[in-house]
Amino acid sequence: MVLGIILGVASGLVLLYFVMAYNGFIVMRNSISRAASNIDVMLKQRYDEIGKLIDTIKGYKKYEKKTLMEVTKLRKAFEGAATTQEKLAVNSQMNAPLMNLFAVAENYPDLKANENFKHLQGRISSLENEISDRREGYNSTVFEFNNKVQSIPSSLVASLTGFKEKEMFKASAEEKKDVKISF
Amino acid sequence: MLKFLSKLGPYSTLGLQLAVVWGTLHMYGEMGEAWVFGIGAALSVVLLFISYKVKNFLEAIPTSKIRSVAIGLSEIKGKTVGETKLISPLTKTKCYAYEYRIHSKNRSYKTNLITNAKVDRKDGYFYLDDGTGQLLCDTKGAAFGTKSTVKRGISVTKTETVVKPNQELFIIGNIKDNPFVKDATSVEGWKDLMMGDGEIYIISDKSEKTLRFWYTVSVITSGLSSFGLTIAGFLL
Repeated sequence: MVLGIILGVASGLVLLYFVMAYNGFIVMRNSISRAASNIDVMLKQRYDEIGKLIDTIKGYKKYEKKTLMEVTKLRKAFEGAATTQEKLAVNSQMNAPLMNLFAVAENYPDLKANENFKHLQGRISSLENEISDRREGYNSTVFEFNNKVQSIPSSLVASLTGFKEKEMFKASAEEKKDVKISF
Repeated sequence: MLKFLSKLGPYSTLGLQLAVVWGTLHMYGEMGEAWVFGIGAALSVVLLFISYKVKNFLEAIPTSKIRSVAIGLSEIKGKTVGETKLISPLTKTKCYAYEYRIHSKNRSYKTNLITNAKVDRKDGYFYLDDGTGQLLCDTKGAAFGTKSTVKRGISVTKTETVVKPNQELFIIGNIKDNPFVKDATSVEGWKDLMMGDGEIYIISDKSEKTLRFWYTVSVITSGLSSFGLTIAGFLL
């Protein structure tokens, strides 16, 4: 009788743990989706600001056509990117030509003094920092999620309910390279 | 009720759990009825859920840098800055917000239970600076997990908790629109935002790691209590 009661209550607690652990996975999965969406929002903002930057520079006819075309091409590639990972990859490819664009502006005093250009330059750089912060945040949540998926006893709940490890955002080859600025 | 309890903070949740166990045993001693264990166990399960929920949020939400903070439930850490408008009643500290409690022992009651006689709370605003930006925080609705000053008298205990300048804080709460800034007028997006009340709102001077530890202790204590009280209820 006593053993029956103890086993009954223990089973109840195991069931309770299962429910709580499952809810925990749901919260983490939603947090990961939110983090990815937040990165997307920043990427979209940066994409829009780069568009405005191109429009501003187009007025300066002699300006580095090749670099400008490269940025425009990558911007088109961004439109075609489906996942956040792909968008991040295109975004990081854009950094080198953008750095060149900003560096070349030094040779054009009119452009350098243009308030709109200065504002966009600041905004694009600050958005890049924000994207990098949010990527860190995403990776930190994925790290916690993967730890839960792999460690006992939550791994049992994960395997029974179909939660699988998620991939972190890794730095692309372009990001690892040093940016060469050509004047 | 759940929203209120989830804002208690780790120590109060743990304290409440111990009070549930003590209260259940005490009531059983007074009344001799086994069903009080059922109520105690049910309350323990509620506290277990709450502690686990907050622990989950602490694990799932990454600590954001202020410059890249996003709307919704978020964690931030940094140092408090800004002008103080309040002076705390007990220690006369210049502060942004305080909570002052006077507990008095009710001697007419034979169990000598401590009753909460008075709570005085004043809320305000401060900025949290983490080196990447300064975010406006409204203390309204927050659980204060900052260090308290306690003064004990013969029959009265006074407790004061303040949020003061130059304090290193960890905050988990809801990022929302800053009502004092016109939308999209700032170059830096975080200037349009503000930390405020939400499903969970804790302002603490402990690290996230310490908070997680205490919520884990609270989960274990609540789990063991619910188990123990249920068994006791069946056996007695």
